[in-house]
Amino acid sequence: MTDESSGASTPPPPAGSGDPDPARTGPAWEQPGPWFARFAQTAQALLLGPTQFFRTMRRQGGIGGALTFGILGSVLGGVVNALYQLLLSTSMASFRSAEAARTEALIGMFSTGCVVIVLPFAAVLGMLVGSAIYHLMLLLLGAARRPFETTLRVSAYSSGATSVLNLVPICGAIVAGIYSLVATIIGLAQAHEIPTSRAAVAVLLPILACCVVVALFYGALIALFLGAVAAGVQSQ
Amino acid sequence: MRVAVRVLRAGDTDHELLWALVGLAALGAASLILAAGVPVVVPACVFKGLTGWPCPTCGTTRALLALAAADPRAAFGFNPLAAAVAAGWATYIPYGLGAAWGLWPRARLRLDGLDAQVVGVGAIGVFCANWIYLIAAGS
Repeated sequence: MTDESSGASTPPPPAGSGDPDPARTGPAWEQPGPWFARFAQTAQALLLGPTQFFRTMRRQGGIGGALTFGILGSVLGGVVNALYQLLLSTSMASFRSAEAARTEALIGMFSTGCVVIVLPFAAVLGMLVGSAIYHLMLLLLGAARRPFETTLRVSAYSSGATSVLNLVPICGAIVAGIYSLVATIIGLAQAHEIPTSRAAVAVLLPILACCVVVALFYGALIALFLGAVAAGVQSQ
Repeated sequence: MRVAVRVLRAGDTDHELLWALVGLAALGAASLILAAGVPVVVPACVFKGLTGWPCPTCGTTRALLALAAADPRAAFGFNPLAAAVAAGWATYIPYGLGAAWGLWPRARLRLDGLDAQVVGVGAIGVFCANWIYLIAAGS
């Protein structure tokens, strides 16, 4: 492989302290200023230059800021998606009757409200579980050179920034899903100072494993169904 | 716009390997799902139901299924842009793996401000042209 980890990696600092690497100044989100401007600058920096972003991301120093960024991005993307669905379903219902449109609008607004309430918790759970899986994979590959906090920060910033792509109607979700994987791989490689190949295996292998499980489960269901049909035919 | 051809340095992101592995994983996942017989449901387009016109992504699933069935002509008929991206990405996979394995020098493109704007406008233009084709073809 051509990619090698950096030869001059810094040792992990004591717990609770910031990143000792002076080049890691952190994203705009971790600097003072209006929150919306910080959020927009951070998302733009990650989406347009993930390698440089994660090269300068602090690897330690608390998870609150990164998690907040991830939650904000996820809620923003989720709410916009819900509003798109509300708009389309209400418009389609209006072709039937005004009453149907009103009913659809009420259901849609209730759904959107539920999304706003539930999504922050779901986002935090998703980031924690996803980070845990990635960090476990890194440990198994012998590539976890930084603590879990570093992996969580990568996951939080990746998911928060790429969720913004959901603002693009129709095809935004597809692009967001793919780019989230790419950004996470780049982030893990830069933050843990490991080869791109190991970061890619840590992220992609669990997804493939899920597909194998789904395929096996579905195959077993089909086999059971066919067996039941064959048994019924034989008994007649 | 500048193009630099050089060997990867320590700490560089191996983009060729990265996009090759992501593409390979997508192909692998799709193959597993299809081989298991999981039914692929082509979702109804809400935009088309509302306006009568196809949305920019209409035909993507059919194009990908046609490519999987080695029918590129049908794939490009369903959605040229989606078929081109999928076919291009599949072609890129062996190159990416070969570049990583063979330690080939990599081409790195650096776009200045105006170049980036031109590329962005060009991409939007291609996207719109594809959409106009879908509307004209009645996809």
